[in-house]
Amino acid sequence: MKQEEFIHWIDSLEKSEPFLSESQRKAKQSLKEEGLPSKQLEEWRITNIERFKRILKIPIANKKHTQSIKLNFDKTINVKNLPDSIEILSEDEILKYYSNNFDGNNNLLNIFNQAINNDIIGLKVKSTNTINLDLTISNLEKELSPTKIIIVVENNCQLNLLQVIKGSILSAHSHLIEIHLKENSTVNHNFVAIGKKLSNLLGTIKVKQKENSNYSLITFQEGWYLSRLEKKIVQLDGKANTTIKSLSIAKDNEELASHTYVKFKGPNGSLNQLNKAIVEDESHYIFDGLIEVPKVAQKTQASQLSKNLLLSSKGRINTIPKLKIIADDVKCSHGATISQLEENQIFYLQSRGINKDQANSLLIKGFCQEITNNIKLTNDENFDLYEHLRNSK
Amino acid sequence: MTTKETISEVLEKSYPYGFLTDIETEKIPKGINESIVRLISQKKNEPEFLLDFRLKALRQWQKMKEPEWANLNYPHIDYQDIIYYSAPKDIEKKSSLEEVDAEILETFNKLGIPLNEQKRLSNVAVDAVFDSVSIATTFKEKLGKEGVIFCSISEAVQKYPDLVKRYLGKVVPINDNFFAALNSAVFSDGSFVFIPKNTQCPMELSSYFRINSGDTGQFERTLIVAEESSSVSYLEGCTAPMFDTNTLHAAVVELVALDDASIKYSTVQNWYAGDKDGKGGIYNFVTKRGRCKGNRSKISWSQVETGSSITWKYPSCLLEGEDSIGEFYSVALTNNKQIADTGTKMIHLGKNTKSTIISKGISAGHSKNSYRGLVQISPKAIGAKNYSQCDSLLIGDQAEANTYPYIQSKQKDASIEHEASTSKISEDQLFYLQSRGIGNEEAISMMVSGFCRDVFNHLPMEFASEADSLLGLKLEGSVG
Amino acid sequence: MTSKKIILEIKNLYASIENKLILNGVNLTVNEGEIHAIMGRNGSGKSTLSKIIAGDPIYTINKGEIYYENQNIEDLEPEERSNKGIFLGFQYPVEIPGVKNIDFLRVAVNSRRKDLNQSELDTFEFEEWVEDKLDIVKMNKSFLDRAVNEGFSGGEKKRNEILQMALLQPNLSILDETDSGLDIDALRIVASGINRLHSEKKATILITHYQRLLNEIKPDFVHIMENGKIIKTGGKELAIELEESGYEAIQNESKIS
Repeated sequence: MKQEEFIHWIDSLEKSEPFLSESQRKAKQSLKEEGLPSKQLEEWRITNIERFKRILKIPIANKKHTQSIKLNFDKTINVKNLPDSIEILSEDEILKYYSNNFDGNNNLLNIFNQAINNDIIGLKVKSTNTINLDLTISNLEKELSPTKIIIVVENNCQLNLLQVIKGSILSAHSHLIEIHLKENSTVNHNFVAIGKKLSNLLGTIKVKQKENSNYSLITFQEGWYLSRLEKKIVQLDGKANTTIKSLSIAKDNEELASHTYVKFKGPNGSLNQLNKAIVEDESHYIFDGLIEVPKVAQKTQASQLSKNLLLSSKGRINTIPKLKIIADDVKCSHGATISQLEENQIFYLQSRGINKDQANSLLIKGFCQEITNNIKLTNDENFDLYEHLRNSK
Repeated sequence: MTTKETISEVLEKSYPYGFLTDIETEKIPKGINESIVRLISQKKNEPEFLLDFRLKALRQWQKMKEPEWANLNYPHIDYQDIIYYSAPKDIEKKSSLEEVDAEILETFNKLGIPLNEQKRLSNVAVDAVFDSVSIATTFKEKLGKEGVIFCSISEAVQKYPDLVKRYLGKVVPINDNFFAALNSAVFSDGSFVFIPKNTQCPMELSSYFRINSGDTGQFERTLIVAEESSSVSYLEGCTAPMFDTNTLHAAVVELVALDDASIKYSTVQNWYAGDKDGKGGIYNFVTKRGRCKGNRSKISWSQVETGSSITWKYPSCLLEGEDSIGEFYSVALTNNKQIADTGTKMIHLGKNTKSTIISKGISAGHSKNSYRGLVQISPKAIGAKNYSQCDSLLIGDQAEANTYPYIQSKQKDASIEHEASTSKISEDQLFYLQSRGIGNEEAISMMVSGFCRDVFNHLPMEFASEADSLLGLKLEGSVG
Repeated sequence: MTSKKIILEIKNLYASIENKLILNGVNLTVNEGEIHAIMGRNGSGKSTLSKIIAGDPIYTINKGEIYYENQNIEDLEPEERSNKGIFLGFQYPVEIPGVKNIDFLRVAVNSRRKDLNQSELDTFEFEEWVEDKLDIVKMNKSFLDRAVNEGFSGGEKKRNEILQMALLQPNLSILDETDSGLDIDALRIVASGINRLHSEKKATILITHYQRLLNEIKPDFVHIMENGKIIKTGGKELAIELEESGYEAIQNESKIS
């Protein structure tokens, strides 16, 4: 696909609901200005852009499919029948929270979602008792389904959010979730994205944290032909806690990517990040993580660790853990490793009578469990992640 | 007094090498075009192959675009406003040092590099480069006995054209990057080192670069070849006078190590960095690359970067030979409005290749200090290993420290480990040292040295103390 | 009785950190040859007092004076105080990565020697000299090549403090909780080091929580500190009384009197 075709594709996008039309217009405009991503852009240098272009050829799902977002609150309920503790945001409120731009240069996926999407769900959590919310998003074969969610968690409120995104054959998701944490609020966010053959995921998780809020994110992804998951977290006034853990398992000829961006806009913030990936067969995994600590963010403590297992000689891993620091009174560290399984560990297990294959799978399981053990799933009969993870070695 | 006040006081420090030597020079007209390149080649009486090399590079360069880096702004460089060749007048290389212009000898004396062999440390040979021209090379005879060639590259072109032809541009191709292409077209002088088979170079070799003219670009070219089972340690130092304008320094350094050979290349870079408002100073855009061509060969880069207004520099290793080793040890100190963007590339191509990266960045004032590095493991590099450690120390709350490590592996039987940290000098540490009777300045400089210890340990003996005191000088106060 | 030289005299000292008052009118006189113990609960101001004597810039003196050998030292930098012979053994010795212990010790010793008009020691002379002193705290030579306190165990850090005291030969040593975190053997080594270094011409202040250090080092005076003030002074029997009846009792008693 060439630039002109891309412009044409943008022009042909279906119109959104009237109250979102202005934001859609802006998004289309910016998308035209940005153009197709290219290797010249630092953030897209390593991405397989041909695969991105192929997504543009997938027909966009009509609105009915987008509404297949399912909310589980204890038991499945429908959007119009929410308990008192969760409120649907009005159009005005959505416009207030729905941000067209975001810190950092790399905005393409965000704009992309806003340009094509014509549906949005906005929720506000008002309960100080912990609310459990499950969001399952699936699509049909051969469709590009755009989804967008805004969640506002009010002062002192707590939310356990489980998102499961499932991809069908030859489909694509363009997904955007925006979470606003007000003061003293807590969100435990589990994000499980499982694709099928030749399915694609373009996902953005945007989080804005106020003082004394706690945001903990665990992501798991596998099975996508192309997955690009961007996590952008800003501590608006610092003094908040952020935890990010993620696991990606890439197989066959998949390309999975995690791009994270964490910015501290005030002092005394903390970040604890652990990013893991396993690469098998001819797959490719990309981790690109940036931590930004400007002058105002004194006494920030941030640590980021990228641990990768490269298990095949045809696989490929790129990891770029970046730090950008101006404040002087900070403690920041990052680390990255790419390796095979440890031979002395395998040997130790073998010496206890475990055969090599078992030893390998034990160690890989151990590698995964550090992340997956923390994923808390509520009962969804259609999909058993535990079983799924147990089967994937 | 608070730590902040102390540190800022310590940092107010002038550049001691900023004097200008008054000497008549021969310069060619400003600008760059084919006739200028021909003129340079003609002045140096070069063989045909070299003129062709230069012209090819010029044509490549004209097609290339100056790189634009994210987050890095500097005033536009007008390449037609630079003089590409400047030499002390009448400088036919003197056979004995006594004939060298007294002013120039004095300049090097003032810089602490006496060229008189009796005064020199007996185990270091020096090639002194003044503006574009090599002035003197010491200890040539003694080296000659071992078969070691150490001379200016201009001299090598005349005396050993075959060697130069065989290796020049083979590590850094003409079209490698914008500044390398420019250098290939107009390079003036630099050092040439050739260590024959089975020879351990008997002394440290050293080049000292001095920019004197304000409007002259410095484009030196260094080529070091170590044949099978040979070894050499090479040091490089540089200073420049203070000018309000920016001077461009775009050098190219190429190293080749054959089977079992080892090259250690150390730099103490102290170009003028501009004043505290960022006015003037050297733009240091240098391409340095070593090729571990032979099995079990080793190339080790050590650098102490304290000067220049802007530095872009990524001394790299192409690890081709099996079991070859690449190392990079770096200290970069930036102050005031300096910008340093430095790091390394370790390209693992051969089996069981190993690389180590230790980088220490110290940012003070309003400066910006970035580590940018690439570790790449190709599919053939079975058993390759890399370890990287990048630490930043921030002094004051206006400085910026960035770390951009790019890590790529395509080989499952390889291991890569990267660690990085950012910290500051704490009030507790400062008080502790003070309470043992150690003054502020000394305490800070002690801690900075301590922070850099891992790197200093890899500098040649003669250099380690120089580097240490250079940092001390930059931060005032010396370390005992 | 011959009149003894006054080493330290603190008069009505009030001090604060970040506008929080910590010392509330401390008075204390220490003569040469004396060992004083200051005891008190956590937060009573003991450590603050020691840091202020050493000149920690994070504290502000609001009122009162500190005289060392008859000189008001309020305006002296910490290193000047050290050069004049004031030594603080830290409760939590700071780790300084990369800086070799021996280099640090040499620079420290030479700045003290300069103040005493003694010649500076070069690397070799210093090494010899320091090796003699290692025995005082039963330290292995390999400690000298490690970075200052980095990766040292609690006991090793404290011994390193006493080694510095031995090297700097201070006139006034203030040892802040030097006994905390030490097992009984390490405590004996540290205590015997302190005893060996004390003399008729020197003064020592021990700051401690527990009486057990005072079994090893016999104080001439024991002071009890509470709320930033010395509320009671006595001989070593006071420490025993404290151990038996607790701070509460002494506090109440001092309120009554």
